[in-house]
Amino acid sequence: MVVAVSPPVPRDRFETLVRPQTARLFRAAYRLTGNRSDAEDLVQDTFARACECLDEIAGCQRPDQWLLRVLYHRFIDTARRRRRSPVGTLDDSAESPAFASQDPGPEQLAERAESEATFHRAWLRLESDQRAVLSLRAEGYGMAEIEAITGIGREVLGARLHRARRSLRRHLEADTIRDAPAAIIRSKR
Amino acid sequence: MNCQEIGNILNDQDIGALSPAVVTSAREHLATCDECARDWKAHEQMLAMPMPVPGPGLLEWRPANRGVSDATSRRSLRGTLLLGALIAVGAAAAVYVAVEQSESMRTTESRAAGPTSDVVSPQDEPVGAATDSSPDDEQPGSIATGADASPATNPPDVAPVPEPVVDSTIAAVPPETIAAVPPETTAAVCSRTATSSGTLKVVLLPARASTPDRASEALVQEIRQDTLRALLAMPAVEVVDLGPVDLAVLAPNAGSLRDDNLLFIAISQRYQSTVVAEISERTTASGLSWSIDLLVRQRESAGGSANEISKDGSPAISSLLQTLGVKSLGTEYAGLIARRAARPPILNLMPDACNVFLDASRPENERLQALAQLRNDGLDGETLAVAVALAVESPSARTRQRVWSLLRGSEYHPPLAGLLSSALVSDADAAVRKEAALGLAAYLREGSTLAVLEHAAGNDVSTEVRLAARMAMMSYDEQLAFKREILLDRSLTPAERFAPTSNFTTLRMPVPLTYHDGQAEEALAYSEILGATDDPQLENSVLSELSNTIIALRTDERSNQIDVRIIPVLAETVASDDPRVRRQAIRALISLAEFPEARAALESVIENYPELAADMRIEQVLAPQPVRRTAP
Repeated sequence: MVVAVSPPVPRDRFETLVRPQTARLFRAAYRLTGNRSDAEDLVQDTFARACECLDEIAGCQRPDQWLLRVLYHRFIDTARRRRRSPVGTLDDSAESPAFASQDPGPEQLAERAESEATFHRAWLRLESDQRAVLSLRAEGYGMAEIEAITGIGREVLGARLHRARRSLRRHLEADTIRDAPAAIIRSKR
Repeated sequence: MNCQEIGNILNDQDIGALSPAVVTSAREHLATCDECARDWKAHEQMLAMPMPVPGPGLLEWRPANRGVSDATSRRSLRGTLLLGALIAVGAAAAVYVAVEQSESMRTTESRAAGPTSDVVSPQDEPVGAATDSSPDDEQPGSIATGADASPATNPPDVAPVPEPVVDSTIAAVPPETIAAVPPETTAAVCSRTATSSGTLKVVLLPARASTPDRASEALVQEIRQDTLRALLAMPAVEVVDLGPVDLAVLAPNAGSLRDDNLLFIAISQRYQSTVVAEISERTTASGLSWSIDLLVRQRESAGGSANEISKDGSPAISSLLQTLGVKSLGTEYAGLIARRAARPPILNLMPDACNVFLDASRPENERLQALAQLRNDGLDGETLAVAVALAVESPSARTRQRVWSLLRGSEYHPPLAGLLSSALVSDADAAVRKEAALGLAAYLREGSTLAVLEHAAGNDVSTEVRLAARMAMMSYDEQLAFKREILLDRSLTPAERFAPTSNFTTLRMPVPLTYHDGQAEEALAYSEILGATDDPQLENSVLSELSNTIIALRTDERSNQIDVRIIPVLAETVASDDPRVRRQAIRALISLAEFPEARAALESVIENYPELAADMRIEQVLAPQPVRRTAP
């Protein structure tokens, strides 16, 4: 019996080609998934795929785009599966980010945390497709690069970015209005 | 800098690396445009989104599990094992079923067809496909419709259909032609000629009587049979005789959705028909009236009047209308009134719209609904006077606007010119003044109408009123050119680009949109507006206009001019938060279902919005057409 054995993955090539993109991939994954553990899983999945295609990545002019393309499609696939069988969905109850803050004042700290939480909630209310394109935009990619990563045509992409930004704005404003009474009470104190 | 350029920056550029000149220009625009300022702020908030640092697990080198974390790996393994097991079980079951079916099919075939017969497997034919009828099954002299003897097509609560009475106004069809109609429960396609591109295809829906009366039901069925005969007698007409069961398969809740355009569109798509015809009884405020509702393929105004169709200018359709005895809107089908009058009177269960409207104690919204019904039959002097009083005296601007809007579509009443002029000059509400300006377009030759409109066009404080007054003075061609010029001006905001189109749509009513040059370009412009706005109300209006334009292109057989770049924008719009917009976008996609891109988008809708897709019967639209058989 012949057993197929995967060839060993050359660590140095992985370290050279893929590792430098970890932070970028993680940021994008975090924006997409909204929480750390899912983001890490998503990045790991992307790494797994990358290990199989190191030659291909080596031939790419932009390895980051190759990796983000994989990450993007894995996220979209997962989001679709979740939508079809919503065992657990991203919602308001998703973990809020705990970020180290350098602001000393407790009130400022609270306000900042609240503002971040507000943004987080609004962000997670976006449709997964919208969150995906905005995540790439937030990573600094322009239309041509996002087009290359996602495979979405230019017209659709423009419209989707526009719509996504409007949705985000709407969610943010709705949340701000909801939080307004609490903010007023705080400011009066 | 304008909104479009701000949008381009937010979509494509690093706002931290903009040149000082661009920043200054952008700031100037943001100071004056609230929408862009809020977009910009949201973008900045997004860029400022705080990021946690990745956990140490991500930084480890784990080639042993090919870079996959333990948890992921375990999940994948579990998933793989489960999937493998399921595939194995499924495969075994499939083999078992296939063998069973094969055995049973062989048996059936050998019994039914004998060893030499070339029988098509039932699995090869889609649901609802027309099945062949053997000559022995045919009943000479009868028309197989949904009202035939089959229990499935003749529900117990419907009176048996009497023998068809051939109306002298309709050309009689030889019995042998009628006998060629395939039997009951399948959508029968009958043709006098071979199908060709020049053939007019008509889907004849089951008849419908809105009055719960058996006599009405029976008479409607009678008329339908006559119509079927007339259609079959016409050259170059292919008829799809859609029975109640076919309709039920196509649209399970068609009873309540019969007036919905979607049903008609779905049928048109499914059967690739030019015309969907329905014989229906309508009850109007003035009493019972009979009508034949006809629909040009994918026309938005489903169930649209015969008048709309005759204006399409298609000789084939005009010929069809003449054959059916429909001459113009409001002209009853010849002989129907007399035939209906010969039947015993029935109880009119519809509320008396006239009484409702004249009853000042009723809520205004009820009265407005009644007025909407009444205006279809024309308003008598008393009703008109009360309507005008409501338009002038109601404290609600919404009511005043609505009444003027309803009166706009009514008959020509010269005294209205003075009242509309007065409203345009003195009403405090801009929406009412705008409606009055648009209403005055019908009375340009009356008194001082032109002077009043000119004054409003130059001096009204509202931009919308000035625009409406300006357009009201234009001829149809001038309106068309003006709305086109503004629509294609990409330096304007989406709302500005669409405003003249909105007025144009109002002014042209009730005349349907027909094809004019450059419409394909306009459709693309609508899609641009759609992609650039997020205002649900504007999106709705644009989608409606876009759908009408697509339909106009298609009914004029200019589908090849439709720019498929519209489709991805529509597909994107389906993701709108507003359910009405979502539905409208899907509706537009349905009207484009002949394009593979649109079909792919609709498949995506089925996947992402299964309930909505079921409600809008997208699967039926995408379903392959049933096998058709042509009568000899």
